[in-house]
Amino acid sequence: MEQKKDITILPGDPAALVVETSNLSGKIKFSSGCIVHPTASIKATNGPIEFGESNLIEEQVVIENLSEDPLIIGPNNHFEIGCVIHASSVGKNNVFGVRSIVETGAKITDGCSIGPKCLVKPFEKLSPRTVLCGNLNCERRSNDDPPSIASQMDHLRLVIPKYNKIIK
Amino acid sequence: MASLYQSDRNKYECSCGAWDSLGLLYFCRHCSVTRCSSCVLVELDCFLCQNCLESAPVTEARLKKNRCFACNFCPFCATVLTKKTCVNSGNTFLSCGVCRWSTRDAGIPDQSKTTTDWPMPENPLSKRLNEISGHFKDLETREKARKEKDTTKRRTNFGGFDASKFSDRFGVQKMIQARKKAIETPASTVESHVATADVPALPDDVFESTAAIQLPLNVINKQPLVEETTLLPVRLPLKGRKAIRCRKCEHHLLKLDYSPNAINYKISAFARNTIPEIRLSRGVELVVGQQSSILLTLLNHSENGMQIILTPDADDSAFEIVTESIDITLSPLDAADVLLGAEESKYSAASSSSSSNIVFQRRNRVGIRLDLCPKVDFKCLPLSLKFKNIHTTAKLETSADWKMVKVRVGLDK
Ligand SMILES: [Zn+2]
Ligand SMILES: [Zn+2]
Ligand SMILES: [Zn+2]
Ligand SMILES: [Zn+2]
Repeated sequence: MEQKKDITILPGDPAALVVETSNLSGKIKFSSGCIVHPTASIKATNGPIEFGESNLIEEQVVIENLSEDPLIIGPNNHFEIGCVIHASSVGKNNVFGVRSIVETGAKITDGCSIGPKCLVKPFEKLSPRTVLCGNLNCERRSNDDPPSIASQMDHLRLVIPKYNKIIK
Repeated sequence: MASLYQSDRNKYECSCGAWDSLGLLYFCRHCSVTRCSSCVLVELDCFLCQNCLESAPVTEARLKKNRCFACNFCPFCATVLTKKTCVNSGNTFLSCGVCRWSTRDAGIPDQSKTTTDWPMPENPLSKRLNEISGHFKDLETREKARKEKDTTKRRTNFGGFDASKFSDRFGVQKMIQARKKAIETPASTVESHVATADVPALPDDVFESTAAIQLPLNVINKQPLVEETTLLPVRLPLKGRKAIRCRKCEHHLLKLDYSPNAINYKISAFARNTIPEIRLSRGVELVVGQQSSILLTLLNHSENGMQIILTPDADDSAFEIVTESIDITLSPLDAADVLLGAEESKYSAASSSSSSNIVFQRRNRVGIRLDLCPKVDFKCLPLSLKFKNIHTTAKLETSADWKMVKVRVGLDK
């Protein structure tokens, strides 16, 4: 069943860059400064998805809302290549590592860093600045937020419009 | 690429009698023979840090206990830590990019920007350890002096000859005095340990508290009983770099460039650059009692043209030889021609007495067909490879000689 696309891109400076080759479905709202790479899938299957400012969504990422409640994602999150997010809420300044998985109903607060290929179990709640890493899903607490990716975002804002069509 | 992936299919005989694949052999031009890993000398070239590529001579490396003072790795995940600057104070701290551990977690104060060597806490027992090692050094010099005295006495006993009457031209007197002093001064003493029955009990949770943390082994080795909050960064161990010499003439066969940043060789005497490579170009179907062909490819990786005579080994009774020998000349490969796509005519098929056995000839490679009649089912084809390459000798004036190497071509799938 093909779902109707209902994309809202809020105006702002810097403008959000959502490329046409990304797979979007359902009711999605992007705030200013968000960047969505090609082949990223964002599916508001049952409920809507709202992105805060300056989220970076890389290639092959899957963000899906399976519940009927809206999925609110805070600002400055970094979704690295191939991560799968079925969370029920995401705070700010989080990093989701390459091919990490956040299962249904998990709650991610602020400043968490989920390592490559790590798993957040269904309905788990991660307290602020939790770090998951290693093949054993080692859990630690950091005393700092993940480093800022602002300079990377600035570079992407220059490069992406040169090679991709952007949804207006 | 097949020569990279299945390099152990075809074995070449080394001058020492061992068999190894061509990629693992060396060719000493001074002795004009092949050398394998068991007939070369391996020496330690230098020590270097794999992260900052700073090299250290052997003595310095020993002083530093074979560790780089500037680089540290994470006690949690063994990733090399990166230096971060605090925005407010301008001081630096170390942080792990993978598990986000930082020296701040361990309660280590930030260091100023100019520090290159990250400080390590002093070993609380270092004074005692130095005392003991000093004592042992003292014992060593005394024992050495006594031993020397015993041996030299016998040698310089000229019967009433008094060495002290002559001037001390060669510093012998000084040496003897130093030795005398070493023997006569009383030996240093160190407090010995006293056994006690009063041992504090281990805390009850000692086996539970640290068990949950999965740490790299070399961290457990260095910091076996620490809690998660008191882990310290670990200095990166230095790596040794090898150089290889010929066992007989001691010339270098393999030596890297002096600078650790450079990845090219200063000397590289790989056998591949001298001996033609043989590959099986197609799978072999052998039927006992019927004439079959084996298709081989010969490659010349050297910088010179090569004359090759390939003969199946006659003393093997597994098959009957149909093709007696194949005589070919192989041109060297010119890398520029590959890039520019130069015409093949430049590498014209050189005169060959057995052209009927040549399947194709292209640049530095030639495909050949070897006919034979198997008597039994065999898995390995023995060949004698004679080649003439100017590269086989270090002497410039002499012309190239024929060299021979035995090859076993693996035929099983
Ligand atoms: Zn050998
Ligand atoms: Zn280093
Ligand atoms: Zn780490
Ligand atoms: Zn030699």
